Amino acid sequence: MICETITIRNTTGLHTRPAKRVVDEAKKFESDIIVRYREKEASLKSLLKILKLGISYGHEIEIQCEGSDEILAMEKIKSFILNLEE
Amino acid sequence: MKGEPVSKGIAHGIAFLIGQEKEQQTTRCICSQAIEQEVERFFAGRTRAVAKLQKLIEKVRSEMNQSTAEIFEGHLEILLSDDLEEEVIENIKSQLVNAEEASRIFGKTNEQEMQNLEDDYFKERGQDFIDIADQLIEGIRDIGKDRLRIPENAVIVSDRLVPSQTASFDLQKISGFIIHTGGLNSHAAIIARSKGVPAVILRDPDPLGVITTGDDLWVDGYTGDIWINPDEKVIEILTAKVQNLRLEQERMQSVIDLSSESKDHQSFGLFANVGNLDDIASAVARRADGIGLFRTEFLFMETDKAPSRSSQKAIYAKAITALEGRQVIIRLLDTGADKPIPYLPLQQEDNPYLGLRGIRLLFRYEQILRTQLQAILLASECGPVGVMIPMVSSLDTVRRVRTILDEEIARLGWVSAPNLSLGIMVETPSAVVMIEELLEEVDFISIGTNDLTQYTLAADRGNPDVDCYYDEFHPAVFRSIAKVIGSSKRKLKRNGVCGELAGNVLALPFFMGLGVDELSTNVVALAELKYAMRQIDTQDAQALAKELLKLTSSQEIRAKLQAFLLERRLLR
Repeated sequence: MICETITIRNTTGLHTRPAKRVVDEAKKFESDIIVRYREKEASLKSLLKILKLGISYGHEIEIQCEGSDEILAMEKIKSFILNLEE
Repeated sequence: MKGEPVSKGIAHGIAFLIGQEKEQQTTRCICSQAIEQEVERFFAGRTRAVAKLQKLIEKVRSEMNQSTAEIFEGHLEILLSDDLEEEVIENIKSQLVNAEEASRIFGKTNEQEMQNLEDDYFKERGQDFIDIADQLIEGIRDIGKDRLRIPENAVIVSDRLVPSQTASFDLQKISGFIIHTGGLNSHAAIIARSKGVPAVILRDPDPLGVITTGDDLWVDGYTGDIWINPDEKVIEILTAKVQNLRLEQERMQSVIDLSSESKDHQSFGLFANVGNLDDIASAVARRADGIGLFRTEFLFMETDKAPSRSSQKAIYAKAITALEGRQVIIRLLDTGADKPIPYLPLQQEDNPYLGLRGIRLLFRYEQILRTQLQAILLASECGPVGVMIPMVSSLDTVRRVRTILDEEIARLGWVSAPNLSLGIMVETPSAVVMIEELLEEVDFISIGTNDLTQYTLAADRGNPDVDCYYDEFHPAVFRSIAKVIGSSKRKLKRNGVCGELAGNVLALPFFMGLGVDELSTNVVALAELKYAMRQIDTQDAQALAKELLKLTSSQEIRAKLQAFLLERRLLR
């Protein structure tokens, strides 16, 4: 299991459209991927749960990956979120 | 009748009512033996809803744009998710309600959770869950709104339009919308605007109560006015208004793509004054050379607490991105006792215009100033942006803002903010007198002619008794403007004008003669200014400006300007 913390850089944060893209990306991996923000956490494979975290610009989130492809998953997901536009 | 305009234009058509709320389900509670049946109805309903949504996504992608389609792809993702399935089935089992009610609870609960989030943007997105639940309920009931046969030229009257509904309409047939509930930023309003269909939100009275299908309806998406079966006289006025709009549009189209320059090809920037994101969209559509005045008051007035850094930043960034590298000048919150903001308690003042307003108020509530500066700093990563200080009457004010700005830059861990410039509104006589020294402290200036006129002439612009003393064409105002623009040109600082006078064609030759860098005005005036500008020679304008500055009354000034424009057939 690996964990990393990143800061959201795209303007609107993880609202419907960008979050959908992130979820699509997360589903490509076998690993369980969890996002933590403040006291809440959610699976990055669930759009509904991610939206309800209310992650906006400047927020620090923790990503946790656990599974056979966790290293690759972490690397890809991290760069995907950091390179979101909009 | 008057409602809130949410999408511009004037619509005329036949009322077509969609009575969503009338299709209430009859039974909500079920006995435990019916659980299994309701779960099956849910699954069947979802399958229908999914098929319909997929069709909708295709339609949106081909008729509107990819980004709107992606919102519905998000809906589809949630509709198909295990989360939704588990929640709805759990609702059926634990609360003993039918599939429709269980879906409604799902929508409401999740919307509520979104409401509890801090970010305003997320709050409004709670509507997505209501929309998803509605689609699901529709699928369960198997009633499909596709069956609605919308007549040509319809004005849709509905309690609430959910985006999937708005998008599934054949918008070619629809001339307007009257909606009972919703907001300026609801998906329905956004879609109506993106398709250029006029829309008004009418909260009181309930439009479904006063309008019947078949009524002759006129909807004014500029003012929010609605007329039901108007008489001939009103129709005549409205027809003339529509005709005028069309003429104006044609004239605008003829110069819209040409550059803002004089007859002898000297450039003068034609910038837009904006107060919200809609204005910015129309400024871009009308090819404004920049935003010369972004009033930020709306951000602060529509909420019950100060807007967060991230919500402000998102809006500033949107504006800057939309202008694609052209200048955006954001004015810091400019308000006072005459325009109170609920969370900034202010003493009643005898003289609000001479009171705690503009930057003076921001110094009192320094955290608001700091948050706004940080938001603008963060947004400056998207492109060039100017911060403009309102109500400056001394040098100290500018230095104090500069210090605070530097502190906020350091707080972000930056060493500098290369895209950000700092400027002032020149709107007090003291700023005019001290302009040389002020120019040393700033990157740009912009003359606010409304306040400059009232402060220079000591005449309250809101008091009808002194109306005759308030005159923007007064020689004292003209000479002040000339002094300020002259000094800025000598010091090589960007200068502009952003009051009413900037949008008045009558004053245009004067500004051109002074060699102003930019005029910033309401977007609707841009085309007229550009049209006139392209027929005026700068040398003629310079000679005229010189003459004007010798005159001693506003009557003479006006007369000379009128003669100048009449000679060139630029005055109607």
